Amino acid sequence: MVTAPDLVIDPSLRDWVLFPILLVMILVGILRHYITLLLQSSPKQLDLLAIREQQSLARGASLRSNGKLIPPSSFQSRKTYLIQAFKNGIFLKDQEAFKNKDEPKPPANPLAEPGGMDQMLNMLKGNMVMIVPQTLLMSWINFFFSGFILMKLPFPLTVRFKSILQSGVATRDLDVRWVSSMSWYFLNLFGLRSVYDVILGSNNSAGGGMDMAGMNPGMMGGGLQPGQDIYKLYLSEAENIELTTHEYLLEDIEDRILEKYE
Amino acid sequence: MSFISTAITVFALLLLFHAGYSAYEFSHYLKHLTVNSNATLPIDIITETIVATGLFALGQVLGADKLRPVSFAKWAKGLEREGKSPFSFLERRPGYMNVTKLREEYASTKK
Amino acid sequence: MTTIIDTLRNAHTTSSYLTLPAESLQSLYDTSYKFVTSGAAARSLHPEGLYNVFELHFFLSIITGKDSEASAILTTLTDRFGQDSHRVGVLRSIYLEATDGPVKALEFLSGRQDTELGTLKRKIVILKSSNQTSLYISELLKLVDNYPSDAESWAELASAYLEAGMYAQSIFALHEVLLLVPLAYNINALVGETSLLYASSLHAASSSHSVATEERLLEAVKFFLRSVELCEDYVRGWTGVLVATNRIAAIQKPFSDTSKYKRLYDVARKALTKIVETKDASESDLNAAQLVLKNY
Repeated sequence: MVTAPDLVIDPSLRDWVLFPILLVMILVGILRHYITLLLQSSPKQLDLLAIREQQSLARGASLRSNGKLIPPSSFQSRKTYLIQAFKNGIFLKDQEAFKNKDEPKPPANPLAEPGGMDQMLNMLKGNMVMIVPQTLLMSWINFFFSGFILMKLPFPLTVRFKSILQSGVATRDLDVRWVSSMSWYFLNLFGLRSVYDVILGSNNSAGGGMDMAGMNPGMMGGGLQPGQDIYKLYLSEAENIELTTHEYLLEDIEDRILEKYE
Repeated sequence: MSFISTAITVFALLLLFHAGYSAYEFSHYLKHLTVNSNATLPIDIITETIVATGLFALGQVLGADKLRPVSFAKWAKGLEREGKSPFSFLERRPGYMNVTKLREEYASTKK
Repeated sequence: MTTIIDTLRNAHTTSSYLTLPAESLQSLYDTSYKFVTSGAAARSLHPEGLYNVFELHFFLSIITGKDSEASAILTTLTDRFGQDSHRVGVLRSIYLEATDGPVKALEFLSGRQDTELGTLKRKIVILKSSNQTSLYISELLKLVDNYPSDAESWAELASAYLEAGMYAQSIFALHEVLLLVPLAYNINALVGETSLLYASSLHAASSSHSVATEERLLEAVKFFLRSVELCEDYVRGWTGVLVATNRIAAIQKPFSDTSKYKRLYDVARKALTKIVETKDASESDLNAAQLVLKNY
């Protein structure tokens, strides 16, 4: 019942195409990691007023969540102060602009603010580092190894995998287990992440753009987005504080302790 | 992990392995039997498996780390006792350390 | 090996070197010296832990007067992180302050970015040690206005007000710390202690019993109880409860119902007696508990 294999692969394909592609891709990933490190600009130092503008917002949040720990009078005075301060914009770094806020102003341009410009530039750099080597690699493989069959998977697969595993090979009847050079490239592109983790440690940027989509919302969540009107945030925070009622946690602490220890 | 718990765990693993191997052998033996019996696994293999599992669990429990308090107040008490209070920085304030004074104090007590 | 690392790491995170007596400082210095110079540090610690231990060793050397050792470790840290690093800048300013005096340190600090929290703090410390109290407090106020989420600065402000005898302001600053670090039981106890002092000063000023004094005492009890609630068998909290309730009991004509506080007094006494009997606290805490039990 032993059938002859339908294709025989020249072992030099393995030695001179399969392994070189893998090796080159790993090396390119490592190179990309270090280039990204080099290109990273250090976070820009904010001036004092900008720091104050951002941190003051957190003050409202901490009063709302932990206000129950301080006596009612203390809470009330803070509440009135913060609401007033937020509404009058005294934490804003740009008092001039605040005074003229009723005048119509052009829509905020993220490029106008220095911080926004930096962020855009950083993203651009990241994308360039990702795209350039990817393009080069792909044309390299396309030029030299287009249409190569490189290996056979040791397990059977359904026909649907054909487009994934045999891109660049236009044969309809070929068994799905055969993998083409272009597909080998894509498999590596998506699958080398864990290899980079082992080589470079888990916070590497060798995977390039793969994690970009996942990272961006987190980056934005921390700081303020450029071009966003912080005064609007202040107003909504003031509203939130106004809605907060004060339940003094220490009101009946004597009874709690007596109950526990008597 | 203490020696006893390691010993129990290793013994339990050996037992488990032996039970698994016996079951394999038994199924192998059934295949070669000419009479078509639908015999079940012998009771001693089953017992061995259960005992091994129990022993393994016992070994793991014996070797577990000391349990730590769940309530914050109890945990804080332990830390306070060992001088590891996570809030001590608020009263020591390393950012505001007065180095001249500390040096003088140290020098005066050393004399 | 692990115990040495634990000791050093713990000393760094709790900054215990700021309050240790001289002998313990000396032995801690010896430990860290051996650890850092033997090369065991580099082998058994991750970079972050390693540089924390280096920082600790710097502090220990400078406090115990080993200036050349401090200078050496400072050079190592500067080589690794560069002149611009915030923490290295702080260390250098401390070194200058200790060896060349505050004027040199101030000169160095004014050459650095004025937005670094550590730099601002060092400038304020220099003001404090040169006895410019009003300037010291106003600079601290400026700092907490710019960095309202820095609990350490609020706590420093509270102690500055306390030293100036401005108890209400001190309590205000401590409340701000509690808003930022809600579980800090030691700060709860500190609010209680400050309230006690405040009550005494009010009492001394009016010479007769007033509503304000009583309110301060009741509030002190509340905060001491909170600290005990957050940290079981907290000697500082229980002694506070004992002292405060004792003083409430001494009031001739209280404005509010104080029967509850007699019961609390008994509870505190019982708790402290139990702690002393079972020796369930550190040495200094036990001594304090015994002293308070005898006097109140």
